[in-house]
Amino acid sequence: MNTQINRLPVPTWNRTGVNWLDQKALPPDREYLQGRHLPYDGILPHGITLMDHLPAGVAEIKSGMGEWLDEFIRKGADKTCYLLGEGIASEPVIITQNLDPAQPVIRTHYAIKAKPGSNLTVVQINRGDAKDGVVENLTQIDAQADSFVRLISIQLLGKNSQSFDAVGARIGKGAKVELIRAVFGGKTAACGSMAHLEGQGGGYQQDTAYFTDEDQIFDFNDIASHIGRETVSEMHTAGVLSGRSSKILRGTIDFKAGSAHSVGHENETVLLLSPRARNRTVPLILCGEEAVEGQHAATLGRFDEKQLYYLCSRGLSLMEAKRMLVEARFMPVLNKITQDDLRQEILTIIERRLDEHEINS
Amino acid sequence: MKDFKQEKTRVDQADRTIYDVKDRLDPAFLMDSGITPEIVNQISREKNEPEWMRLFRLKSLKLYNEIPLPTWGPSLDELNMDQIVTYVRPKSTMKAKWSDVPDDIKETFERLGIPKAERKSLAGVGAQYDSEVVYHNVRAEVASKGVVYTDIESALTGPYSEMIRKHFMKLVPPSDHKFAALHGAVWSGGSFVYVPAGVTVEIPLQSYFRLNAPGAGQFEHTLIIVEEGAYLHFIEGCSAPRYYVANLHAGCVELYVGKNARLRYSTIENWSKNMYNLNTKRASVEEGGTVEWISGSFGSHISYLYPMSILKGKKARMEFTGITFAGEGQNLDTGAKVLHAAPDTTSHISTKSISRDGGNSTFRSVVTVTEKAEGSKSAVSCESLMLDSISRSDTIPVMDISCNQADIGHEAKIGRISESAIFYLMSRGLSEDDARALIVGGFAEPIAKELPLEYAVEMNNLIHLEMKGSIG
Repeated sequence: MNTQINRLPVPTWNRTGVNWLDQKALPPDREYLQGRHLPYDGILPHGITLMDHLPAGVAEIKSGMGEWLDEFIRKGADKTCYLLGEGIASEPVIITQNLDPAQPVIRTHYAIKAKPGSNLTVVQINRGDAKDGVVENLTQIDAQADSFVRLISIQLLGKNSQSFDAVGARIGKGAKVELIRAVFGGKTAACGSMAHLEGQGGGYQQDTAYFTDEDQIFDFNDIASHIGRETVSEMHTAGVLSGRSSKILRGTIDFKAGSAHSVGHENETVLLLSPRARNRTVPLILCGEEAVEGQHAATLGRFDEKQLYYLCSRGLSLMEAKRMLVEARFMPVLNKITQDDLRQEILTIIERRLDEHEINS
Repeated sequence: MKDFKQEKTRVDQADRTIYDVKDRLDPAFLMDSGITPEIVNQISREKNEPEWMRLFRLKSLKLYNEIPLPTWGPSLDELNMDQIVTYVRPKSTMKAKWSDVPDDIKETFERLGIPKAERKSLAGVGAQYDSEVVYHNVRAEVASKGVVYTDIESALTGPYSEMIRKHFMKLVPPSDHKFAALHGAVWSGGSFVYVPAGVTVEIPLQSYFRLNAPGAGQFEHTLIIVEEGAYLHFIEGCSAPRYYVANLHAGCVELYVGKNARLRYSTIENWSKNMYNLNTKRASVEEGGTVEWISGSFGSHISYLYPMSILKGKKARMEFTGITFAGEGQNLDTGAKVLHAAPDTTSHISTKSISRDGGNSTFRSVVTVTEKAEGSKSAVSCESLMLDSISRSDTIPVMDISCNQADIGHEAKIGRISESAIFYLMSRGLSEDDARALIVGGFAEPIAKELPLEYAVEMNNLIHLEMKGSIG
């Protein structure tokens, strides 16, 4: 089994350093944890129940981080959470995990099985910090026909910790999965998602927001694999890089033979605040089917002087104008976070990091 | 959801009759196949090279043996270097008149239209047959401006020997990759061009490379130096007849573009479909200088081709315009690389590709912007058309940005003709077929208009469009 994490589906020049996650960002070599605990002790909303065992066929749903890490988390998870959606859930399931010195390793395996026609939202919040702490999550989603699953992943760890967030989704006929991610914390944060659009008319929407500073290393590997006919993927990423941080985004739209009449769009906008930050963007389109439409776009650069000038001419200070432009980039993510306090917490982080950047620059 | 139920555009194979004519194999000297120190020494001896070049070759051979095959890109497993003949010397030394070139070789170049093109529209021509240049000439009025256009072996031992030594494989060191090392070890033939400061060469120079021997390799080296404020358009053409054994092309092109100079480098690659085209091209551009690459990739079984531009001077500029046609049995991995290493540099990469009949086309690029490249701008655009579902088309771009005062844009698309565009044209009186023909013709047009006329005609012949339905 290949042990590389976040491997680019088709490799390119090795000297670009983008073919897989940098060795220095790998998860610590720790033994499997013992015990199987539930990360959620609240009352599940109407329409969602907890399953005792992993449903058949879910273990095979690959994430974007690679089989080795998937298996490592699945076999070694100390916490498991297998959710079954039936009908329309009355409210989201919100699961918060806290890393602390007493619990420096969290390894959680989530499974979400959405029965035909069901509708549910799961919010995963990871926060806290510990020396050499690590959070490893694997979420496997089986969205059956005409179901809707929204997974919101908020990562607010401290800078002593590492985060590995693997998501795999099998999307059935007419089903739709949304992955909403906000990634701010961790000395390294690696995320890898793979949407298997198997059923005709299946849809996948992904919106990611990230903001790095100091020496943070962020690494993404997001793949929309179009297998069924008339499938649609939309992957959008917005990010800000400051300090001496670095980030790699691999985003792949993969049209398999047979995915006729499918459409895939992907874009990324990156704002580089610091001359010492490094951004690498690798947007792939792989196409083995003729009757498809695929498009990707990336815009990397600085604040638009004209936009800043306009906003300042309307009475905003320069900092207010910059904050407004950054928040606007993150709106697709922020708008889907329905918890006001959580959204406000993210806005405060953005404001603080922009202020710190201004002070340090 | 759009209506995808449309008939297909047909894109025919090119008529390769003139390229596939095989000459009788009758070389003056044929090296044993494979690559060993003895063979490398023998090539050097055959060419009466200076000692430094012999040592350079041996050092490159050592690197070749140490460097692994690339772990990305099309498979090279079927390329057996032990069966490749690295040096084939034709029965002719270099001539300055076509009438002095042996009849059989001359007829080959006549069929390809090279002497005619020289008379009509070129300032100079070089013609290489297998491993050696057989013809080189430059118009007197161009030579009188101090322009040097000669075969590289002559330059190596003539008055420009120090210039060659200073620049040879400095942009593409043999350590760069396995086939650069191979080139360093067994290179033979190619052209040297020197354009003095301030000189404008108003009509193009052209080198044509013809590989006739089956199972052979061609390893020509092109070195062009365009001094401050000068201008040159250089055209490179390549072809070979088809054989049922693998042929290999591992040439190397090094371009030095001086301050405020401009160099346009056009390539029409039409190798036969048993060819492994593993070519390396690189340009260094000084302050205010411009390099323009025009690249048409039509032939080869497998290609690895990514011209690279190093923008090392302030306000240096590069433009890359390329088109790739991948048909049956072809896996063409092409693209471009650019390094922004100075402030206010600009790059623009625009490519189109068409895959058909099981062909595989890959666009691969890397745009690197260093900390020093404040105020730089880069735009990359690639568009792909797949004409059936047994073909493949992939885009694999990388953007590596370490500067917060740069503007970088990238877009790529694989798709069909916009229905609204067809609707608009039909509302202006065109039939649906005519509307589709107009739009498809426009797909390749931005590239065709950059090609020299005779090559644009060749490309249009290649795309024989029977507009019965939409493309895709």
